[in-house]
Amino acid sequence: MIGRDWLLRIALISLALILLVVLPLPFFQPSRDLVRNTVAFPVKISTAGAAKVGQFFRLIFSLNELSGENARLREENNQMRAKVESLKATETENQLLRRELNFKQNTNFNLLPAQVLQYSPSGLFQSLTIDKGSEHGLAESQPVVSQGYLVGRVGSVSKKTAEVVLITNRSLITPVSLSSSGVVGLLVGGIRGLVVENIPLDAPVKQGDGVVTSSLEGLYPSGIAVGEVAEVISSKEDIFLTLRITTPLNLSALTRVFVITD
Amino acid sequence: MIRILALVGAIITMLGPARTLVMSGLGPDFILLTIWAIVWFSDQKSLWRLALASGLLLDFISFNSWPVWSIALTLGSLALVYLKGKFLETSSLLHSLIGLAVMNLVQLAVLTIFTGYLETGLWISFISNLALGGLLFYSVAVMGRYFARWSGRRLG
Repeated sequence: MIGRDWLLRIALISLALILLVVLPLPFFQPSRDLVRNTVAFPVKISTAGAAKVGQFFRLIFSLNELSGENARLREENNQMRAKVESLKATETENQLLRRELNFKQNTNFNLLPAQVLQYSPSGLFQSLTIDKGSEHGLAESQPVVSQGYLVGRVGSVSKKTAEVVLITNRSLITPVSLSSSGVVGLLVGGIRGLVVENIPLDAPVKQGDGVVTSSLEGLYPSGIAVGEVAEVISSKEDIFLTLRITTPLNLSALTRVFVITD
Repeated sequence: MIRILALVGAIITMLGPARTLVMSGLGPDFILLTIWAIVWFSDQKSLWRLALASGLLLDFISFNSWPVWSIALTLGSLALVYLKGKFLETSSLLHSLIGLAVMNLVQLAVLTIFTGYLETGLWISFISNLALGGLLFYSVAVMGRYFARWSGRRLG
Protein backbone atom coordinates (compact mmCIF):
# COMPACT_ATOMS: atom_id res chain seq x y z
CA MET A 1 0.00 0.00 0.00
CA ILE A 2 1.44 3.36 -1.00
CA GLY A 3 1.64 5.85 1.86
CA ARG A 4 0.03 9.29 1.83
CA ASP A 5 3.41 10.98 1.70
CA TRP A 6 4.42 9.07 -1.42
CA LEU A 7 1.06 9.80 -3.09
CA LEU A 8 1.65 13.50 -2.41
CA ARG A 9 5.15 13.27 -3.88
CA ILE A 10 3.92 11.54 -7.04
CA ALA A 11 1.04 14.00 -7.42
CA LEU A 12 3.32 17.03 -7.00
CA ILE A 13 5.92 15.74 -9.45
CA SER A 14 3.26 14.78 -12.01
CA LEU A 15 1.66 18.20 -11.73
CA ALA A 16 5.02 19.89 -12.20
CA LEU A 17 5.83 17.73 -15.21
CA ILE A 18 2.46 18.39 -16.86
CA LEU A 19 2.91 22.10 -16.26
CA LEU A 20 6.36 22.07 -17.75
CA VAL A 21 5.33 20.07 -20.80
CA VAL A 22 2.71 22.69 -21.64
CA LEU A 23 4.98 25.62 -20.70
CA PRO A 24 6.78 25.82 -24.07
CA LEU A 25 3.42 26.66 -25.68
CA PRO A 26 3.23 30.24 -27.02
CA PHE A 27 0.41 30.97 -24.55
CA PHE A 28 2.90 30.98 -21.67
CA GLN A 29 5.56 33.07 -23.44
CA PRO A 30 4.60 36.46 -21.93
CA SER A 31 4.64 35.12 -18.36
CA ARG A 32 7.98 33.36 -18.89
CA ASP A 33 9.44 36.55 -20.38
CA LEU A 34 8.17 38.46 -17.35
CA VAL A 35 9.84 36.01 -14.94
CA ARG A 36 13.10 36.15 -16.93
CA ASN A 37 13.13 39.94 -16.83
CA THR A 38 12.22 39.96 -13.11
CA VAL A 39 14.99 37.50 -12.22
CA ALA A 40 17.41 39.52 -14.37
CA PHE A 41 17.13 42.54 -12.06
CA PRO A 42 18.69 41.00 -8.90
CA VAL A 43 21.11 39.05 -11.12
CA LYS A 44 22.29 42.32 -12.69
CA ILE A 45 22.69 44.07 -9.33
CA SER A 46 24.53 41.17 -7.69
CA THR A 47 26.80 40.74 -10.75
CA ALA A 48 27.70 44.44 -10.66
CA GLY A 49 28.36 44.19 -6.90
CA ALA A 50 30.56 41.12 -7.34
CA ALA A 51 32.46 42.83 -10.16
CA LYS A 52 33.13 45.88 -7.91
CA VAL A 53 34.44 43.64 -5.10
CA GLY A 54 36.63 41.75 -7.60
CA GLN A 55 37.91 45.04 -9.02
CA PHE A 56 38.81 46.28 -5.52
CA PHE A 57 40.87 43.18 -4.75
CA ARG A 58 42.53 43.25 -8.17
CA LEU A 59 43.48 46.89 -7.53
CA ILE A 60 45.05 46.04 -4.18
CA PHE A 61 47.09 43.22 -5.66
CA SER A 62 48.21 45.27 -8.66
CA LEU A 63 49.40 48.46 -6.88
CA ASN A 64 53.05 47.46 -7.26
CA GLU A 65 52.75 47.04 -10.99
CA LEU A 66 50.81 50.27 -11.51
CA SER A 67 53.71 52.75 -11.53
CA GLY A 68 55.69 50.69 -14.05
CA GLU A 69 52.58 50.21 -16.15
CA ASN A 70 51.89 53.94 -16.06
CA ALA A 71 55.32 54.78 -17.49
CA ARG A 72 54.93 52.12 -20.16
CA LEU A 73 51.46 53.42 -21.09
CA ARG A 74 52.75 57.00 -21.44
CA GLU A 75 55.38 55.79 -23.85
CA GLU A 76 52.77 53.77 -25.77
CA ASN A 77 50.46 56.79 -25.81
CA ASN A 78 53.10 58.90 -27.52
CA GLN A 79 53.69 56.20 -30.10
CA MET A 80 49.93 55.88 -30.69
CA ARG A 81 49.56 59.62 -31.21
CA ALA A 82 52.19 59.46 -33.90
CA LYS A 83 50.42 56.47 -35.44
CA VAL A 84 47.03 58.24 -35.39
CA GLU A 85 48.46 61.15 -37.31
CA SER A 86 49.91 58.83 -39.90
CA LEU A 87 46.59 56.88 -40.10
CA LYS A 88 44.64 60.10 -40.68
CA ALA A 89 46.69 60.70 -43.77
CA THR A 90 46.15 57.11 -44.91
CA GLU A 91 42.40 57.40 -44.31
CA THR A 92 42.12 60.47 -46.48
CA GLU A 93 44.05 58.71 -49.21
CA ASN A 94 41.85 55.61 -48.79
CA GLN A 95 38.62 57.63 -49.11
CA LEU A 96 39.87 59.19 -52.31
CA LEU A 97 40.78 55.80 -53.76
CA ARG A 98 37.42 54.27 -52.75
CA ARG A 99 35.54 57.04 -54.44
CA GLU A 100 37.54 56.44 -57.54
CA LEU A 101 36.99 52.68 -57.54
CA ASN A 102 33.32 53.03 -56.54
CA PHE A 103 34.06 50.68 -53.67
CA LYS A 104 31.12 49.26 -51.85
CA GLN A 105 31.57 48.50 -48.18
CA ASN A 106 30.59 44.91 -47.45
CA THR A 107 30.31 45.14 -43.70
CA ASN A 108 26.86 46.66 -43.55
CA PHE A 109 25.29 44.05 -41.28
CA ASN A 110 22.10 45.03 -39.56
CA LEU A 111 23.11 44.84 -35.89
CA LEU A 112 20.57 44.75 -33.09
CA PRO A 113 22.02 45.51 -29.63
CA ALA A 114 20.80 43.31 -26.79
CA GLN A 115 21.47 43.17 -23.07
CA VAL A 116 22.48 39.90 -21.42
CA LEU A 117 19.87 39.01 -18.79
CA GLN A 118 21.42 35.88 -17.33
CA TYR A 119 23.64 32.91 -18.05
CA SER A 120 22.62 29.25 -17.88
CA PRO A 121 23.07 27.80 -14.38
CA SER A 122 25.30 24.96 -15.62
CA GLY A 123 28.43 24.92 -17.77
CA LEU A 124 26.88 22.02 -19.66
CA PHE A 125 24.46 24.30 -21.51
CA GLN A 126 26.87 27.16 -22.41
CA SER A 127 24.09 29.61 -23.23
CA LEU A 128 22.75 32.96 -22.13
CA THR A 129 19.47 34.87 -22.27
CA ILE A 130 19.12 38.27 -23.94
CA ASP A 131 16.42 40.92 -23.62
CA LYS A 132 15.33 40.91 -27.27
CA GLY A 133 12.87 38.50 -28.85
CA SER A 134 10.70 37.83 -31.87
CA GLU A 135 8.94 41.19 -31.55
CA HIS A 136 12.31 42.88 -32.16
CA GLY A 137 12.93 40.85 -35.31
CA LEU A 138 14.97 38.02 -33.82
CA ALA A 139 14.76 34.55 -35.32
CA GLU A 140 16.49 31.24 -34.68
CA SER A 141 20.05 30.75 -35.99
CA GLN A 142 20.92 34.43 -36.36
CA PRO A 143 24.60 35.05 -35.58
CA VAL A 144 25.48 36.95 -32.40
CA VAL A 145 28.64 39.06 -32.10
CA SER A 146 30.41 41.23 -29.57
CA GLN A 147 33.24 43.66 -30.36
CA GLY A 148 33.21 42.28 -33.89
CA TYR A 149 33.86 38.68 -32.76
CA LEU A 150 31.44 35.79 -33.02
CA VAL A 151 29.73 34.92 -29.73
CA GLY A 152 27.26 32.27 -30.89
CA ARG A 153 23.88 31.82 -32.47
CA VAL A 154 20.32 32.62 -31.48
CA GLY A 155 18.68 29.45 -30.14
CA SER A 156 15.06 29.47 -28.98
CA VAL A 157 13.20 32.73 -29.35
CA SER A 158 10.39 34.02 -27.18
CA LYS A 159 8.40 37.21 -27.69
CA LYS A 160 10.60 39.50 -25.56
CA THR A 161 13.64 37.32 -24.78
CA ALA A 162 15.85 34.87 -26.63
CA GLU A 163 18.47 32.24 -25.92
CA VAL A 164 21.98 32.62 -27.34
CA VAL A 165 23.87 29.36 -27.74
CA LEU A 166 27.56 30.20 -27.24
CA ILE A 167 30.27 28.93 -29.58
CA THR A 168 31.61 27.01 -26.57
CA ASN A 169 28.45 24.84 -26.59
CA ARG A 170 29.26 21.27 -27.63
CA SER A 171 26.19 20.98 -29.85
CA LEU A 172 27.08 24.05 -31.94
CA ILE A 173 29.31 23.32 -34.93
CA THR A 174 30.47 26.40 -36.83
CA PRO A 175 32.08 26.31 -40.29
CA VAL A 176 35.18 28.52 -40.20
CA SER A 177 38.13 29.30 -42.44
CA LEU A 178 41.70 30.36 -41.79
CA SER A 179 42.05 33.91 -43.03
CA SER A 180 45.64 33.41 -44.23
CA SER A 181 45.00 30.39 -46.46
CA GLY A 182 41.21 30.17 -46.80
CA VAL A 183 41.24 26.52 -45.64
CA VAL A 184 37.87 25.51 -44.20
CA GLY A 185 37.38 23.61 -40.94
CA LEU A 186 34.75 23.05 -38.27
CA LEU A 187 34.78 24.97 -35.01
CA VAL A 188 33.67 22.90 -32.02
CA GLY A 189 33.35 24.22 -28.49
CA GLY A 190 33.47 22.76 -25.02
CA ILE A 191 34.13 23.73 -21.42
CA ARG A 192 37.87 23.50 -22.06
CA GLY A 193 37.83 25.93 -24.98
CA LEU A 194 37.53 26.08 -28.76
CA VAL A 195 39.05 23.78 -31.38
CA VAL A 196 38.93 23.72 -35.17
CA GLU A 197 38.78 20.22 -36.64
CA ASN A 198 39.00 18.72 -40.13
CA ILE A 199 41.85 20.91 -41.39
CA PRO A 200 43.79 19.06 -44.13
CA LEU A 201 47.27 17.90 -43.07
CA ASP A 202 49.01 19.83 -45.82
CA ALA A 203 47.31 23.15 -44.95
CA PRO A 204 49.77 25.92 -44.05
CA VAL A 205 48.96 26.78 -40.44
CA LYS A 206 50.91 28.91 -38.03
CA GLN A 207 50.31 30.34 -34.58
CA GLY A 208 48.41 33.63 -34.69
CA ASP A 209 46.57 32.90 -37.95
CA GLY A 210 43.15 34.55 -37.91
CA VAL A 211 40.00 32.40 -37.90
CA VAL A 212 36.80 33.75 -39.45
CA THR A 213 33.36 32.31 -40.17
CA SER A 214 32.77 30.59 -43.50
CA SER A 215 29.53 30.88 -45.45
CA LEU A 216 29.65 27.12 -46.07
CA GLU A 217 26.18 25.57 -45.56
CA GLY A 218 24.76 29.11 -45.39
CA LEU A 219 24.71 29.18 -41.59
CA TYR A 220 26.77 32.35 -41.16
CA PRO A 221 27.84 35.25 -43.33
CA SER A 222 31.51 34.81 -44.15
CA GLY A 223 34.23 36.91 -42.56
CA ILE A 224 33.04 37.34 -38.96
CA ALA A 225 36.14 37.12 -36.74
CA VAL A 226 36.22 34.15 -34.37
CA GLY A 227 39.73 34.27 -32.92
CA GLU A 228 43.23 33.14 -33.75
CA VAL A 229 45.18 29.90 -33.83
CA ALA A 230 46.91 29.23 -30.50
CA GLU A 231 48.48 25.83 -31.31
CA VAL A 232 48.15 22.64 -33.29
CA ILE A 233 46.93 19.93 -30.90
CA SER A 234 46.49 16.93 -33.20
CA SER A 235 49.04 14.13 -33.04
CA LYS A 236 51.21 12.93 -35.95
CA GLU A 237 49.03 9.88 -36.58
CA ASP A 238 45.86 11.93 -37.15
CA ILE A 239 44.61 12.33 -40.70
CA PHE A 240 43.40 15.89 -40.07
CA LEU A 241 44.86 18.80 -38.15
CA THR A 242 43.11 19.97 -35.00
CA LEU A 243 43.80 23.52 -33.87
CA ARG A 244 43.20 25.15 -30.51
CA ILE A 245 41.67 28.59 -30.96
CA THR A 246 41.63 31.55 -28.60
CA THR A 247 39.12 34.36 -28.74
CA PRO A 248 39.85 37.80 -27.24
CA LEU A 249 36.32 37.81 -25.81
CA ASN A 250 35.58 36.65 -22.31
CA LEU A 251 32.47 34.67 -23.19
CA SER A 252 31.45 34.30 -19.56
CA ALA A 253 31.45 38.03 -18.80
CA LEU A 254 29.36 39.49 -21.62
CA THR A 255 26.88 42.19 -20.70
CA ARG A 256 25.87 43.37 -24.18
CA VAL A 257 25.87 41.58 -27.52
CA PHE A 258 24.78 42.36 -31.09
CA VAL A 259 22.52 40.14 -33.15
CA ILE A 260 22.99 40.18 -36.93
CA THR A 261 19.37 40.31 -38.01
CA ASP A 262 19.65 40.37 -41.80
CA MET B 1 12.30 31.57 5.45
CA ILE B 2 16.11 31.49 5.78
CA ARG B 3 16.18 28.36 3.67
CA ILE B 4 14.15 29.97 0.89
CA LEU B 5 16.31 33.11 0.98
CA ALA B 6 19.47 31.00 0.83
CA LEU B 7 18.10 29.12 -2.17
CA VAL B 8 17.06 32.30 -3.99
CA GLY B 9 20.52 33.74 -3.27
CA ALA B 10 22.16 30.61 -4.65
CA ILE B 11 20.07 30.73 -7.84
CA ILE B 12 20.85 34.41 -8.43
CA THR B 13 24.55 33.77 -7.77
CA MET B 14 24.62 30.95 -10.33
CA LEU B 15 22.84 33.03 -12.98
CA GLY B 16 25.01 36.13 -12.54
CA PRO B 17 28.02 36.67 -10.27
CA ALA B 18 29.32 33.09 -10.48
CA ARG B 19 28.90 32.83 -14.26
CA THR B 20 32.65 32.76 -14.96
CA LEU B 21 33.04 29.75 -12.68
CA VAL B 22 29.89 28.13 -14.09
CA MET B 23 30.82 28.59 -17.73
CA SER B 24 34.39 27.38 -17.27
CA GLY B 25 33.15 24.26 -15.49
CA LEU B 26 35.15 25.01 -12.37
CA GLY B 27 32.08 25.13 -10.14
CA PRO B 28 30.99 24.94 -7.39
CA ASP B 29 27.25 24.52 -7.92
CA PHE B 30 25.73 26.74 -5.23
CA ILE B 31 22.15 25.61 -5.93
CA LEU B 32 23.08 21.96 -5.44
CA LEU B 33 25.07 22.74 -2.29
CA THR B 34 22.26 24.79 -0.76
CA ILE B 35 19.65 22.08 -1.43
CA TRP B 36 22.04 19.45 -0.07
CA ALA B 37 22.64 21.46 3.13
CA ILE B 38 18.90 22.11 3.59
CA VAL B 39 17.95 18.44 3.16
CA TRP B 40 20.95 17.07 5.07
CA PHE B 41 20.61 19.18 8.21
CA SER B 42 16.85 19.02 8.50
CA ASP B 43 14.73 16.31 10.08
CA GLN B 44 11.84 17.12 7.74
CA LYS B 45 11.68 14.72 4.83
CA SER B 46 9.41 17.05 2.86
CA LEU B 47 12.15 19.57 2.11
CA TRP B 48 12.83 17.95 -1.27
CA ARG B 49 9.90 20.14 -2.38
CA LEU B 50 12.27 23.11 -2.23
CA ALA B 51 14.41 21.33 -4.81
CA LEU B 52 11.34 20.88 -7.01
CA ALA B 53 10.45 24.56 -6.62
CA SER B 54 14.00 25.63 -7.53
CA GLY B 55 13.94 23.30 -10.53
CA LEU B 56 10.61 24.74 -11.65
CA LEU B 57 11.97 28.28 -11.46
CA LEU B 58 15.09 27.33 -13.43
CA ASP B 59 13.01 25.53 -16.07
CA PHE B 60 10.65 28.48 -16.26
CA ILE B 61 13.43 30.94 -17.06
CA SER B 62 15.46 28.62 -19.29
CA PHE B 63 14.65 27.66 -22.88
CA ASN B 64 14.87 23.87 -22.45
CA SER B 65 12.01 22.00 -24.05
CA TRP B 66 12.02 19.51 -21.16
CA PRO B 67 11.80 20.11 -17.39
CA VAL B 68 15.47 19.18 -17.02
CA TRP B 69 16.18 21.10 -13.84
CA SER B 70 13.02 19.99 -12.03
CA ILE B 71 13.84 16.35 -12.72
CA ALA B 72 17.57 16.68 -11.92
CA LEU B 73 17.17 18.53 -8.63
CA THR B 74 14.13 16.56 -7.44
CA LEU B 75 15.65 13.16 -8.18
CA GLY B 76 18.92 14.22 -6.55
CA SER B 77 17.23 15.42 -3.37
CA LEU B 78 14.91 12.39 -3.19
CA ALA B 79 17.98 10.12 -3.50
CA LEU B 80 19.57 12.06 -0.64
CA VAL B 81 16.42 11.78 1.54
CA TYR B 82 16.32 8.01 0.88
CA LEU B 83 20.03 7.43 1.61
CA LYS B 84 19.96 9.62 4.70
CA GLY B 85 17.12 7.65 6.20
CA LYS B 86 18.57 4.21 5.41
CA PHE B 87 22.35 4.19 5.13
CA LEU B 88 23.89 7.55 5.93
CA GLU B 89 24.42 9.10 9.33
CA THR B 90 23.85 12.89 9.52
CA SER B 91 26.68 13.45 12.00
CA SER B 92 29.36 11.91 9.77
CA LEU B 93 31.33 14.18 7.45
CA LEU B 94 32.20 11.23 5.23
CA HIS B 95 28.55 10.18 4.96
CA SER B 96 27.47 13.73 4.22
CA LEU B 97 29.99 13.97 1.39
CA ILE B 98 28.85 10.59 0.01
CA GLY B 99 25.31 11.97 0.01
CA LEU B 100 26.47 15.12 -1.78
CA ALA B 101 28.44 13.08 -4.34
CA VAL B 102 25.39 10.90 -5.09
CA MET B 103 23.17 13.96 -5.46
CA ASN B 104 25.71 15.60 -7.78
CA LEU B 105 26.06 12.45 -9.89
CA VAL B 106 22.29 12.08 -10.21
CA GLN B 107 22.05 15.70 -11.37
CA LEU B 108 24.92 15.26 -13.85
CA ALA B 109 23.40 12.02 -15.17
CA VAL B 110 20.02 13.68 -15.79
CA LEU B 111 21.58 16.72 -17.48
CA THR B 112 23.85 14.50 -19.59
CA ILE B 113 20.89 12.40 -20.76
CA PHE B 114 18.94 15.50 -21.76
CA THR B 115 21.80 17.33 -23.48
CA GLY B 116 22.99 14.17 -25.22
CA TYR B 117 26.70 14.58 -24.54
CA LEU B 118 29.06 13.80 -21.69
CA GLU B 119 31.10 16.80 -20.58
CA THR B 120 34.15 15.30 -18.92
CA GLY B 121 35.41 18.78 -18.00
CA LEU B 122 32.84 18.97 -15.21
CA TRP B 123 34.89 16.77 -12.85
CA ILE B 124 36.57 19.89 -11.44
CA SER B 125 33.14 21.24 -10.54
CA PHE B 126 32.37 17.88 -8.88
CA ILE B 127 35.55 18.07 -6.77
CA SER B 128 34.97 21.72 -5.82
CA ASN B 129 31.42 20.83 -4.76
CA LEU B 130 32.82 18.20 -2.41
CA ALA B 131 35.48 20.58 -1.06
CA LEU B 132 32.96 23.32 -0.39
CA GLY B 133 30.51 20.72 0.93
CA GLY B 134 33.06 19.77 3.63
CA LEU B 135 33.46 23.42 4.64
CA LEU B 136 29.70 23.91 4.59
CA PHE B 137 29.22 20.83 6.77
CA TYR B 138 31.45 22.25 9.50
CA SER B 139 30.09 25.80 9.16
CA VAL B 140 26.44 24.76 9.44
CA ALA B 141 27.23 22.27 12.21
CA VAL B 142 28.99 24.99 14.24
CA MET B 143 26.39 27.69 13.56
CA GLY B 144 23.47 25.36 14.21
CA ARG B 145 25.14 23.85 17.31
CA TYR B 146 24.81 20.40 15.80
CA PHE B 147 28.03 19.10 17.37
CA ALA B 148 26.49 19.35 20.84
CA ARG B 149 23.43 17.46 19.63
CA TRP B 150 25.59 14.80 17.98
CA SER B 151 27.99 14.34 20.87
CA GLY B 152 28.62 10.70 21.51
CA ARG B 153 27.47 9.50 18.10
CA ARG B 154 29.66 11.42 15.67
CA LEU B 155 31.63 9.12 13.44
CA GLY B 156 34.20 11.69 12.25
